[in-house]
Amino acid sequence: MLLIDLQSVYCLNHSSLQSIMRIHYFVFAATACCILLMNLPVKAQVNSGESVPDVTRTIALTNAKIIPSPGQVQERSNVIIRDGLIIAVGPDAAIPFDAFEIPADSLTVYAGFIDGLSHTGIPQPKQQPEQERPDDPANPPDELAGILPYRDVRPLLDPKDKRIASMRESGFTAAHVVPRGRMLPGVGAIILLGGDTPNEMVYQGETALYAQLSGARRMYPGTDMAVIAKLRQLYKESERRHRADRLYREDPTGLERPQYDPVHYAMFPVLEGERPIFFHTDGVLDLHRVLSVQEELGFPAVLTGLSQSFDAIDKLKSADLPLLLTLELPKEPKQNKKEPPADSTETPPTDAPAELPEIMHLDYDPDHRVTSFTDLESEKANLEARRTIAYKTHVGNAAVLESEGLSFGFSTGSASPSDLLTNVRKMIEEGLSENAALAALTTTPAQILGLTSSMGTVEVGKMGNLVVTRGSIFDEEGQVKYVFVDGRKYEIEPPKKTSGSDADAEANPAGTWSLSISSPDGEIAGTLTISGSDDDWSGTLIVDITPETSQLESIAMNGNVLTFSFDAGEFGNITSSLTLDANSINGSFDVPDIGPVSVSGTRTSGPEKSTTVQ
Amino acid sequence: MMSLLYSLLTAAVLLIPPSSWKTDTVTALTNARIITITQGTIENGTILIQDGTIIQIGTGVDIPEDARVIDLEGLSIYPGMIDSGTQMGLVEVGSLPETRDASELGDLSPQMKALTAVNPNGVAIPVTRVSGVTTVLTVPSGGMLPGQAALINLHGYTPQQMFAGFEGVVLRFPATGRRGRFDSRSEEDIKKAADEAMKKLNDTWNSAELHQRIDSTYQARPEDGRRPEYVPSMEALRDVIRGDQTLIIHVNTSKDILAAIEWVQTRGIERVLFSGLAEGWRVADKIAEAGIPCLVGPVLSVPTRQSDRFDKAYKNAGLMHAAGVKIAIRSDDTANARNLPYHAGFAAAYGLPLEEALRAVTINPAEFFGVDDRLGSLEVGKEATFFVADGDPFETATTIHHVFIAGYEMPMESRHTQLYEEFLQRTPGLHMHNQD
Repeated sequence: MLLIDLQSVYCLNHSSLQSIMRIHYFVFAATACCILLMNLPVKAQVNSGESVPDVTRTIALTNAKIIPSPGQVQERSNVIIRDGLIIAVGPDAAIPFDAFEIPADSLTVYAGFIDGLSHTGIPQPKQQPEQERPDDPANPPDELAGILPYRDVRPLLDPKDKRIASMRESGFTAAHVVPRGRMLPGVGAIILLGGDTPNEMVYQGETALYAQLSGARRMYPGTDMAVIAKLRQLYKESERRHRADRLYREDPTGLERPQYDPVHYAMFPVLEGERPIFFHTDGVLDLHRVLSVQEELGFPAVLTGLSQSFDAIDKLKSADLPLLLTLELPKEPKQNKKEPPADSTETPPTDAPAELPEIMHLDYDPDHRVTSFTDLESEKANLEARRTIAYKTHVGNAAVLESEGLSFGFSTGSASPSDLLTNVRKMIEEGLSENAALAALTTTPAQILGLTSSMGTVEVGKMGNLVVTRGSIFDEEGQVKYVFVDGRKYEIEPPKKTSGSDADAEANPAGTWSLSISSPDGEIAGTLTISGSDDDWSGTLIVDITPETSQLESIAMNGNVLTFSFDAGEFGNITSSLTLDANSINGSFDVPDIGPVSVSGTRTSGPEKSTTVQ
Repeated sequence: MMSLLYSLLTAAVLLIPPSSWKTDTVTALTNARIITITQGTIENGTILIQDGTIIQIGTGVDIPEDARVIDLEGLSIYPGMIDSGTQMGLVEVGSLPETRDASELGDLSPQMKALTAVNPNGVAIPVTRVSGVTTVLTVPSGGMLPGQAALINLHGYTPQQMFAGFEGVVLRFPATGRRGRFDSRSEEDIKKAADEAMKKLNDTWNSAELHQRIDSTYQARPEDGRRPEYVPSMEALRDVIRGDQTLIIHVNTSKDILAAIEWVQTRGIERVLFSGLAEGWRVADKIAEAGIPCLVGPVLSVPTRQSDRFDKAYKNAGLMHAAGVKIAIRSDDTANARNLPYHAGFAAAYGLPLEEALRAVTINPAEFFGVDDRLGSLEVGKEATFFVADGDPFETATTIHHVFIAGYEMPMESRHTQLYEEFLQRTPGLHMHNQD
């Protein structure tokens, strides 16, 4: 009791002292500002984000290695872009007098990548509005049920969406974007990944209807079967209304005027075969469901997502629909290199599914049984092997499609933009050919989206959408240097390298760190001590405002991200995520009720450089 | 209190009519000590002016019969002083945003001309000229390339009438150091900001050079190509790149000065003036070697570093001159640009030779701005822009008796004198109450 009282008194004094100091500081600062302003009325420097204006719309890339289309190479050639169009390609292409010349001797030029389907440029709503509960959840209004096929994506575009710039950094210059939502979120558009206004970005509107097997929340249609039933119902209703509408227009005699219905009318272009439905599926079961409903109703369709298409090859072949494969991959399981599999004498399975590639030497036994708890290790190893196989199968999905002769394009979906190129490289590692990868990024999506006349290759007359790289884009060392969108140059900053360590090395957090915590009450200093090694860390944290030492719990190192939590008394249990870069650390403490508080620090002792943890 | 006073000042529109003397009649200023600057000092000399120009100067000058004669027994004639850095006409009252026209948002606006914004009725204009400062450079601020500074005479009803024949593109060179004691950014942030600013400057210049090249090619053979894109900010830099216009680089710390010298040399910019140079004395030899003329000031200031002696700002101009730098002195002020002579006076008291201090506010800036054929000294053929003092103008006790700008005699009236008169001649006045 006494202790608590003392503490609260201390706190009170401490905080009142702080507030007095703060007031003094404020008065002082205000006075200082006044003095400064009086003496130097206009010295305040405005840091504007204003960019240097382009002085010419003509750009010449000279002496570059050009990949005009997948499988073709032109060494030492020039590409000339004027007013957003490629006007000349070739070794002898003359450089116009008004060209901004980029010597590209060591660079490779590809056609700008095209994203088959994503929500790029449509920011995630910050907070879902409180969902209205319909009077009759079994028959809710379309809008609440996620049925908005009439919604145009164009008014939703935001040029400031961060994903636009980060997609561009991976070489994407155009994207087919659709609204976010549930069953029928709306109508898509082709956008260019550059420009300051939504209007500048839009290349073509009303491209396709987007659909997914995603039910409404706590109302009809909530389940997959309901979504399919609802889709069928909508489709049939629309057909009926379409017919009635046509008949009435031809001759209204004896007919009642068909009523306008935005949902049905939005389906008309689909019924007429003029607008495809881009149907998204993730799992193979959903894919089968979508394929049957498509076969039944016969609407023009493009299949997207398809992360498990390796299990539906024959169905996909007979359906003969355009495919857009997602660039999202499952998280790579952590390789346990240390110990050899517990039971290495086991024979490899002979009845593995045919689609699985040759890496099946792994020690997964589908019939593995453990007799008692003493044998748990072998079960764990067996499950890990299975997980690795499943991961490799997903990565090898693209290669399987290629070897089966199915043409496909890539869509970025909800994949993190920074993973896009890495994921393509992983797919190539698992057997996808580079030409097929490039086609899936350029010519095939152009074909699926009806853009072959303007995008997809480096040819005269095409749009000035280019990716310029140092090294092959599919090489791990390959770097995007420039991206051109509609003839506008974007210089891409090389990614920051962690100093003095190779990319695979895991940073070592062991040592003492001096932290600075930006709390709402000002900067607080702290000392973080971490000891131990790989997966067996321990540590303490001392924050200067309290004399106590907090023991850190669940410390984990993932790549170069250090996570831990600690009990901070009245503040509750704080979780922390800090990113290491050699001898500096940055991140945040997530304080309950307050939110993330940013933390930065430097190493005061410990390994001088991050070292590889074996 | 001050701001209240200033508000009152702006409320009253101050229109002082120029002298009604016709300029085609000859005016003779006789019996004066004439400090010509370029041709020595003439005792008991006479200056004849007509049509705004000095037509004769010296002793034993024949005075036409119909001439207006002003006897300057015991007085001295100096060429009008030139302040190489003010915001005259752009800023009226510093604390009223409505009256501040010097600074625009954005980093790249070299196409903006300060001259177009000059307010010929600015209250500070008569205040400044009655102290002998007849010509000032008025400089826009804000952003990296805030616009074009203009040299103006402190007399005229329109900016064009005031224009004194020089405009220069202003570049505020990226500052690498802390901006002041209240700049609490980390070293890393400061460096990052400086690198970004430097990159932006170089990107801008690359673009401007390309634009200039394209334009030159097009101008040489317009039938071969199409007209270059219209990019006003880049066009404004074109003349600088071609060496047809002066670039005025604002730079203060020694490190930045060295960086600016290197930048100017790498870019091969022909016509450059440095302005500010608070730490010029630290690298004076390098500036002298580069041969870049400097607009130094304010002199009445404090040292830039705590370790410096108290008088470093006063000595700066003298040290730079001693190292061989060509200097002009600026007040970097607007309401108190009238103090220019005291800036020069302090520089003279702290090591700059008196004669050189005079040159630094007359012929030197005139040469730097390319107007030395008309301004900066008292010579036949030059504009009749000068003032008459009863002593050394750098001394505060000295009174200025006449000011002529391009032959027009200025009324020796300003807001200061008006207020003085008003308070002196108040009726009923305070003494009435005292008598009660």
